[in-house]
Amino acid sequence: MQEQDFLKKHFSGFYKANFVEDPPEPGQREFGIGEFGRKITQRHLSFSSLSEFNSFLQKETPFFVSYSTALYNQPSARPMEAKGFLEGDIVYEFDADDIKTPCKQIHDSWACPKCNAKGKGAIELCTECGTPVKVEQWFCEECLGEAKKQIFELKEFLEEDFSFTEGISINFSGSAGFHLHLRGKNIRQLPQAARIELLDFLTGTNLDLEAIGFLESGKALECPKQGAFGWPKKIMLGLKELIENAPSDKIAAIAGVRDSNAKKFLEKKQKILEGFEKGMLFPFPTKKSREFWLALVKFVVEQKRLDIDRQTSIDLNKIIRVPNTIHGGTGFVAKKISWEELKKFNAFNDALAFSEEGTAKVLINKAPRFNIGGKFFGPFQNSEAELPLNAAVFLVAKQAARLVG
Amino acid sequence: MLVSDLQFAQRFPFTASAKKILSENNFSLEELPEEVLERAGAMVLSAAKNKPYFLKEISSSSALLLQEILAFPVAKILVSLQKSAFLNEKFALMFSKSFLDYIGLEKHPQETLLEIASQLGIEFEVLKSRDFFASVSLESFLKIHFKHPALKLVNQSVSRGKVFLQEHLFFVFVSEMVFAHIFSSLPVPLEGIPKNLKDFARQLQQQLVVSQKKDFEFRLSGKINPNFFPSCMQKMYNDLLEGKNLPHNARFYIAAFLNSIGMPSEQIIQLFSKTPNFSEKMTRYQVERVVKQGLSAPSCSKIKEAGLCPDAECGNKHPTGFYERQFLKHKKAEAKSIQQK
Repeated sequence: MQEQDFLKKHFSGFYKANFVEDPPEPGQREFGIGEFGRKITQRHLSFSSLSEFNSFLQKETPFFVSYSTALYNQPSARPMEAKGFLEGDIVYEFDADDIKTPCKQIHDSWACPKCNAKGKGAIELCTECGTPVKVEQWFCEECLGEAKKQIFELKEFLEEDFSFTEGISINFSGSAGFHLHLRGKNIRQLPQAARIELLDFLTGTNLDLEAIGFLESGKALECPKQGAFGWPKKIMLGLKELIENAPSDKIAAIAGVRDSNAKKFLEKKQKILEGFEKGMLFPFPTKKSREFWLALVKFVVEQKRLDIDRQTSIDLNKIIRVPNTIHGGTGFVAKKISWEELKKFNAFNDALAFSEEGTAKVLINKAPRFNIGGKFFGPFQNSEAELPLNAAVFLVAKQAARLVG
Repeated sequence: MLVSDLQFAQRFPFTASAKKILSENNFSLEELPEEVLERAGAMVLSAAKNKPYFLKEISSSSALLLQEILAFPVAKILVSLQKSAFLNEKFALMFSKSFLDYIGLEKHPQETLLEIASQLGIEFEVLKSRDFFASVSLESFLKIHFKHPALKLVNQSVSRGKVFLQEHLFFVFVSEMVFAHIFSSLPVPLEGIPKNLKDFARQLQQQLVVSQKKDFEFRLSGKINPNFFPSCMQKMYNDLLEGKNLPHNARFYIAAFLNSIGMPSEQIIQLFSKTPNFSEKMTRYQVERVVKQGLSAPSCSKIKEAGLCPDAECGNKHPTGFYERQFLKHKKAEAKSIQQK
């Protein structure tokens, strides 16, 4: 309780000092709030204006605040059908927790509830007994950097492929990821089936290699010719880059062939590249030419596809964190950022709701080494420390520490 | 009026040209010729039985051609009076299929295709380059219902908000647009429909009941609404969408449930495609087995036994029954709100 009061007091102070100017069209949105440790405990709330919403934040100070991507006639009506769906934004969510990064071996850990085995990293099943494990997840600049990279890749998809350039808004999720909101007029009217099509395109789901031009023609293998767009173009560019720049051992590892064979093959680099232009895949000099090229194509697809949270982008009734509000599980602000700001954005500096002024004494159960406001803390294990306010809020909100005294 | 114009409207009665011809000829629903009713009825019955509708070969009689053209909007009224989303879908599907057949009979199929595409409001540009026949704006492309797997967006050449299509795909795309155009126009407003048409629709309904007695309307409505799923199925469905791994029995239960409420097997297979250990071959085999044997979802007690019931107090006996009730409730509410409007 003490911890919740501590956080609530500071969060309320934040809302009194900072007017939240999101979301747009608040009167037509459904809102949801959450309590300590639970992101959504109440839904179907509505506010007629941003002023009313901000007074609510100052007075009630929920730990989490979400809003509907949909606009409704009556946002607080129940059940869902009674709300009267009008139209809906699309939100693409990138969560660093879902992206495999080496840093997870450093800051994440798991424990098996059945056999008590423990280990570093984020896994699903216990390595000893196969039971689903409990994972303690943290995030760092490296994993957020990966999520950020994907947001920039998404920008390329949106501009180059879809020509969606209007009504885009980006924010940090307040924890391990980023949200990109699409609010263009033509986008809001799209039915769910169309949203699935867009998402499948971005994630390379149901990509049919034969349909896009990778065909067997007798013994030869055809590929999309120059002038193709969309996935055929992306794959061909990726293959070209691999053949031009990747060392033979990398190609050998991707395709599962001997390095000596890959080396010999790459000696004909010029011919391979000329083949691409003619729409032919130069035969790999073993019987497994088809498997060789298929492995390379699959590798490229895996590199280029985006790891977007599926449900967030296609669920028309989804509620998602309000930009510029506090994430109650970290104490960070779900900060709204421009493309320009995103390049340099560092959540551990730029999304802090509180300064380092003031301190709090905490008993830390377990925490890896982390950075807040340019200062490093930890690692901690069952230790007491007097930390600057921003670092203390982070650990208490993450339920990794309790207040002392 | 040129006979060729009338023939075009007869073959493609959903076009703006056909509509224009009718509006110029001042027909009255109260005084419909017997032949028009007969032809309209035949259209509805063919659609209900998933059969193609064959046009009468009329080469010169303007009067007879006009009757044929008029049969289409009359058939739409008759379909709407049946109040069945399932029949609406079948009716639209029949015309999207016949569109491909009749365009082949045209002297200049390509030109006719482009004319129809324009009349359907498709934003496109003819390229006739070596690689592509036409480009369609992404916005137009996303309006179709993607029934045809070859039209998945992920497999198209997409660039700068345009989808580039080869000729055969452009044909398929326009036929999908025909479907979307007709389907979205149904049901038509039913105020002021004369008694003679209502009576005829009732007679037709009796014939339809006989041919459809084995179908549940909800089962094949074509629009699966996950909001009507019970919480157990909703959870499994969402887990699949999120690409989570499901236990073997849960996979089987959700596949059987989706099959029993009429989701096409291709869609069920697609739903599994995000799971970590997805094997298309294996999934296809299992799903097709479920479909072939017509397996339905297990009872709630079985789901509870398997530890897959997230809401022990939902008080239901069978997930399919739950879906059916929710579906019908929604449909009634919808009909009521239309009436109120």
